[in-house]
Amino acid sequence: MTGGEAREPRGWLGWLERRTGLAAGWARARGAAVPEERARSLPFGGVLLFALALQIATGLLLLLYFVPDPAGAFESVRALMRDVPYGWLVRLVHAHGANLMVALAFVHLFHTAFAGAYQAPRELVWLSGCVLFLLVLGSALTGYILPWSQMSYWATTVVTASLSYVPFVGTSLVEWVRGGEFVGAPTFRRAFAAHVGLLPLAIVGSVALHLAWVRRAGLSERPRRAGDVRAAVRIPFHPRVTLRYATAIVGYAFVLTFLVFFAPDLFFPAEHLLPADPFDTPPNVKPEWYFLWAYQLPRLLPEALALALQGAALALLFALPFVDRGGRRHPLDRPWISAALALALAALVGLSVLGYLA
Amino acid sequence: MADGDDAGGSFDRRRVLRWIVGGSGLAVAGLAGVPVGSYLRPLDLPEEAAVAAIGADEIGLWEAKQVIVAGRPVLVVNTGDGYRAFSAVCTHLGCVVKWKKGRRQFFCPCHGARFDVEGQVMGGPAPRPLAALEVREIPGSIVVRKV
Repeated sequence: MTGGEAREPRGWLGWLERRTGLAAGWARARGAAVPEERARSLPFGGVLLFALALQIATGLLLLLYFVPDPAGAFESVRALMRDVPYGWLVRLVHAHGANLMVALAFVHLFHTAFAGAYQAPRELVWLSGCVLFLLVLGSALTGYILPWSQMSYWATTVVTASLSYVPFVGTSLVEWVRGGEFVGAPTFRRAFAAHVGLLPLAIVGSVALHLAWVRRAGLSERPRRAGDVRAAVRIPFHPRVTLRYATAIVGYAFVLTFLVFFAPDLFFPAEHLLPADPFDTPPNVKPEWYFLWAYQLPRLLPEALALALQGAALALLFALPFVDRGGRRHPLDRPWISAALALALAALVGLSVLGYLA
Repeated sequence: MADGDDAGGSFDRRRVLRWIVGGSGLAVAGLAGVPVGSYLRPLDLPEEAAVAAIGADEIGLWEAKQVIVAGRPVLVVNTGDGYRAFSAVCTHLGCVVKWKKGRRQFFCPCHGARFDVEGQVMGGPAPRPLAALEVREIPGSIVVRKV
């Protein structure tokens, strides 16, 4: 038996336990019955939680040296990379970690969607996950601005300018986001406030809700074909599932370490090594890989249509649990939804590849 | 079930109190929104110089020079038949266009918009011509002014 009753600790631990109930809570959590296949599947959510913790820890360390002002930001990042002991390591773990986190968030989202795990009673888990996905993208975008390099500046100019195609309020929206008519110091300060204050708070709050709702609904089972009535085998969370989580986290740490040491320039194009110049746009301005699809779409369609398509896709994403309510979760038992998801994924990948090659 | 002294009707005391408390909360939130919204609104910055001057001999035939007018880049072109000045900010998504002497065109490095020497759109995604500035030639100098 792995869960079991928690024995009351003695001494000062007993004193603490009577007031916090931590040991009893942990005993309940590790004994919680979960589907057996969880010990064999990839725990994207658990790895994302670890990735978030790593981002917060490295972000706090970066704050010790980063100068949050357009006049000093670029030089402070350069000094951090060059002069601060292990500054390069902290920054690369943060920057590469952000890219990996976005990649994992994409995978987690599509994996959940294909598995139909958004269906009742997990609608709120899905909605909070969608909000988290957008917050992670927002965090990555605002973080990209902060080094105030040529690429930061011009990618921000292009991304914010694309909001001008929103009907009626476009121009005001751009000015409000930028804090002025053009990208400048007010834009930088807004991005900084969002990146180190607003977004982390929103992410931590949303994660708390997401986990609370996951716990309430229980971890989802693997989708089964219609007619498969075999009862799922349930096992305690600890030790098999915890071991699975630990293995996945070690795997993530391995990939991150590999990228930091063997591909340190992977996410840094040459324009990232030049300070921002508002009077000279470098050739080949492109956003990070996870926004390449959004960069490529307006090159193929009129801006207003591209923006409308993105809005519609986002609305559909949120509405998924309320559209697909059939109760059948296996991808082959809901072919229209699976086909739509496959099409969305193909479009996302295809547009990104086109954007990369453009 | 009695809900207070004057329960039963649609205007019982508890319901009215709930409306008052809820309404007050909304009113306070709305009032707080005014300073917060104003605080977040972009500031009106002091206008920068809307005029720039360069030497007439600084720009060769069919060459261009970038100057800063009102804090934004402007390209001045010598056409041989006089000078033209345009905002170098692309009307598509705000990147800074460059002058291609060989083609006698302005070219945007971001999405490939092209403009002729009069600032008119020749190709690419730009929705409008480049904004023109007033150019005056005085002996030895060219003065560019934001209209």
